[in-house]
Amino acid sequence: MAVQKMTMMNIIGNIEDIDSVVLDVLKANNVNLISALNQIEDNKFLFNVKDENLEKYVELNFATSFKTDMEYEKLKKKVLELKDILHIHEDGIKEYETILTKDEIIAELNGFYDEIHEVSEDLKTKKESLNALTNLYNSFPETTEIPFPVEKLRGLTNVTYRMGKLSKEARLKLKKNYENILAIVIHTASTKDGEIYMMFYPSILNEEMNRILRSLNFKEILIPDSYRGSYKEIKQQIGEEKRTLEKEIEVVEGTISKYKEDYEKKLLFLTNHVDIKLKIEDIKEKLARSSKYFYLSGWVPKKEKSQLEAALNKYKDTLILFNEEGDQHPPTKLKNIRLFRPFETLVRLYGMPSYEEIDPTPFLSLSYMFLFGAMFGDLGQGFVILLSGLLFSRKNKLFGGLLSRLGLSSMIFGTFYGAVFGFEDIIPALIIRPFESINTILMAAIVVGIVLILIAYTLSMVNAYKRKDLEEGLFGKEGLAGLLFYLILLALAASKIIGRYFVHPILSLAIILLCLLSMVFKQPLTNLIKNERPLHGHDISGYYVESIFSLLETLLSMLSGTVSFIRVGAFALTHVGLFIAFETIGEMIGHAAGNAIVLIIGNILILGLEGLIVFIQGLRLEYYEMFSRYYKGDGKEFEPASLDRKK
Amino acid sequence: MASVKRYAGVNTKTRVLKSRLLKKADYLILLELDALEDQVKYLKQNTFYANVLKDDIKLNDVESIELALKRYLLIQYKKLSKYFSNEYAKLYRILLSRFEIEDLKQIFRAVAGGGKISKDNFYFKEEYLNIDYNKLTKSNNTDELINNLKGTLYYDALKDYVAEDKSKLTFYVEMTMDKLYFKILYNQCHDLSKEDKDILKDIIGAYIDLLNVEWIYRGFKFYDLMPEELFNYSLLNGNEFDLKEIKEMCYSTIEDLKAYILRTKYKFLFDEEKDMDLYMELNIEKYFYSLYKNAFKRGKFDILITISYLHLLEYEIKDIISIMESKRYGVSIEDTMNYLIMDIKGSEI
Repeated sequence: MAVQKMTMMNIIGNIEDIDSVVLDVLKANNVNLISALNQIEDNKFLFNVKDENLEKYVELNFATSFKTDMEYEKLKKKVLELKDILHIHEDGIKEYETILTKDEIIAELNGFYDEIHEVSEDLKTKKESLNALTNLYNSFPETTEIPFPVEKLRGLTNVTYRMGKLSKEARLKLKKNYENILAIVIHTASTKDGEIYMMFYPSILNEEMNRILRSLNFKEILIPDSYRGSYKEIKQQIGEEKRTLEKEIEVVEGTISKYKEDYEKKLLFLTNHVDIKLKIEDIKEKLARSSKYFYLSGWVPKKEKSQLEAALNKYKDTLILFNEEGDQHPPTKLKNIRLFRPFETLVRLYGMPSYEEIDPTPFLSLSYMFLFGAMFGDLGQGFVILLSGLLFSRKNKLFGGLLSRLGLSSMIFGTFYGAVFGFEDIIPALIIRPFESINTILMAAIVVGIVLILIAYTLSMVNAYKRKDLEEGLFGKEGLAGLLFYLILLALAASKIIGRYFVHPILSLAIILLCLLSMVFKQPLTNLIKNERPLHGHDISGYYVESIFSLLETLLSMLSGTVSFIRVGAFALTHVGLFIAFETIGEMIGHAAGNAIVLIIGNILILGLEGLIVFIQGLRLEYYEMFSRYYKGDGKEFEPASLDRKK
Repeated sequence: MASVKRYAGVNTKTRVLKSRLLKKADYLILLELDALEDQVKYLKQNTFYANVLKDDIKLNDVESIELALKRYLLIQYKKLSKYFSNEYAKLYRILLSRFEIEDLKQIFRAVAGGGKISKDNFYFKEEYLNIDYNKLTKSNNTDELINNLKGTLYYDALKDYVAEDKSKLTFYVEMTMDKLYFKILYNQCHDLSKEDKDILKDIIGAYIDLLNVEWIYRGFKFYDLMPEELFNYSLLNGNEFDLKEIKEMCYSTIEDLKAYILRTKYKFLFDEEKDMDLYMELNIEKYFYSLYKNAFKRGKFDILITISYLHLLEYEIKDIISIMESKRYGVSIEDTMNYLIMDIKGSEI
């Protein structure tokens, strides 16, 4: 079926080759690595012991895990730092042919790292001082001016002069208390983070003023002695210094963009190599090593076995072993034709099939498309869904694919029902007009449901057979006993309708009784057949209580499950009904334009709302009425080690 | 609807926690018991403190019991904060930082007094929110202590107090840090829902009123601060007093201040009968105790329930320690009752 066959691959190679072997495995993109150490410890890392590989076998006993080389993390940091400095945002070329050694990478990187790093540090300090200078610059007022040079203020003996910043709250308090403060306070400028004040007070009040200013959290701005002249002149001086610094920064930035030209390619090249090395280090966590050899285990799809072997054959003295036997559970890789592929998402949503299970994708795809189309059959609206699906598939391939397939199915059923955008008078109905034969549609829905449920039973038995699960396959409620029971019930129901017995009622009753009994006693029966003792598990009474209740549940779910499919017909009717409602509203409006608008809105609503409901209801039928009967979905997904994915 | 979603779970949980707090009867029994060991035994056998007073704590020592109870309070804070996310989680972090500030004040007091700092006296054990405990304890004097706070949000507020007179320093530090705390807390309120914002602003406003009065009083009486300073340190956003009224208080005298407050709803601050300085703090706590106690009579989905429980627990812990201490110093039952936050007078059996 559509679950790919897997085989276990074990590799033993020389430790020197490890990086390039891992790279080859990564490039192959089809090995699902598992912990080699666990394999070795569980004695599952098996190979033929011959003379020439005896040493490899002996060393197996000393296998340990790899220590992650932290050096690469540091290199990555350096590379990222350089990229940041040089403003390089792209990831660089992905190239996996050649592979540098660690020392080569370090040597290459150090060739220009220090130089660039130094310049960038220089730039950083320059920018910091520019920032400080700008702050100082902004602290000086644009308009307020002192008519004498600042150095004169500095030299005052009896009056103290201070300049500083106050917060909004402090400013308010100062304002409210002016009359008690023995100082001349002049507001000179506003900045982002506070107001700038100039203060003069008698120097004998220094201590008191200090305390007051401190309680206001006054942030003093000290004007360096090198600045002289009036505020205006000082501001000019600072402005000039700022400009000089800005020019210097420009020069340094020029140097940096020169560096970018010179080293961009090389840096991206190295980034790529560091990334590969990091990936390899990451992968090594799953590998094991001894002093001379490394050990690798992983699942490989059987089909790609030879291809991989060919890729790895170039390493001499490397053992590659494939092992298909064994009781391990391989991961599941789904392989479906293009039509079904988007539906794999829906299967994954429920759970991956296990390796031994049938891939439910084909059955789900067909039945889901059928159900969706039957519920939402409309040539025009289906076409819209198809178009939006095609549009979507550029962004989200799987969801777009899903939509377009459902749209197509809707179109097909649209021609069966003869509906285009709700109108039933444009094209003829090929099969039936749902609203004109309500009973037929509802009956047909149940029949479809019965067929689907019967298929589900069959699949369930096939799955039980593949699992070699006698108990469920023969006596389980989704096994042969369940199927027989269901069939007899159907026959009885049909007899009631037609008025003639297909199976003799007494025989029916006998079969029903037999089925029920076998479902109750399934565990002891199985053990009897297999000749195993004891017949029951530990908790006998618990087992019977459970099986009797599950019997009840089986009975109910058979009935409700079948009736549940009526919704398929019901939604086919709703679809038409909804449109009729909009059509009526449109006619009530009376003029053509209003009518058209209502019909357009109606179509949009039907597409959006009903489309969503039908999508969900279809899924509900798939999951609850069918998956629950035949599908477990407790498998692991096949996740190949690869260079692309971040994992 | 959002408030129901936010509080339905946590408020129910909090009500259960609150129901485990001690009753008046428990207080009376604890008061009657003379030996510390009997009190501990009673708490362990009859109350939820059995989970707190484990055997790894020195149960014959009031200090270690106090520490265990304090840390239990922090655990409750953290536990309840787990029910909240985003801005509310941030609020709880700020509320928790109050204990960090309490610890920091203690460290200041210890360093200023030349005393030893022992980890055993603090709320926090290892993980402080903002400060590096080990670095702080290496400080030989308060200036070093302030410098060691570099890099924390406290440094910017405290750096101007280097070389301040030791007798006043602790008062300055306390005011500055409380001011910082209330400012941050007040700002955080604005990111909460309207109901919660109003509730918290009201509570914070009351704290601010009382703190302002307390500071002005202490500033006058013990520290001889200038009115200008007191005015500048005063907190904004109180409930009762505007800036003009605060200014009047700052520029008045102790007697006038007292007379003024006695005319307001905070007259309990200056209870004439007892020693004012001793009871001021207690009276503030009693005020909030009854406020938080009443919170549980409402059935609303808002932040008041959790906040109230946490404070009630805090007060209860203080009371338990007071009772234990009173036995050590031989204070009579009658007198001890005066020192308790919970009002149990007149309810003797």
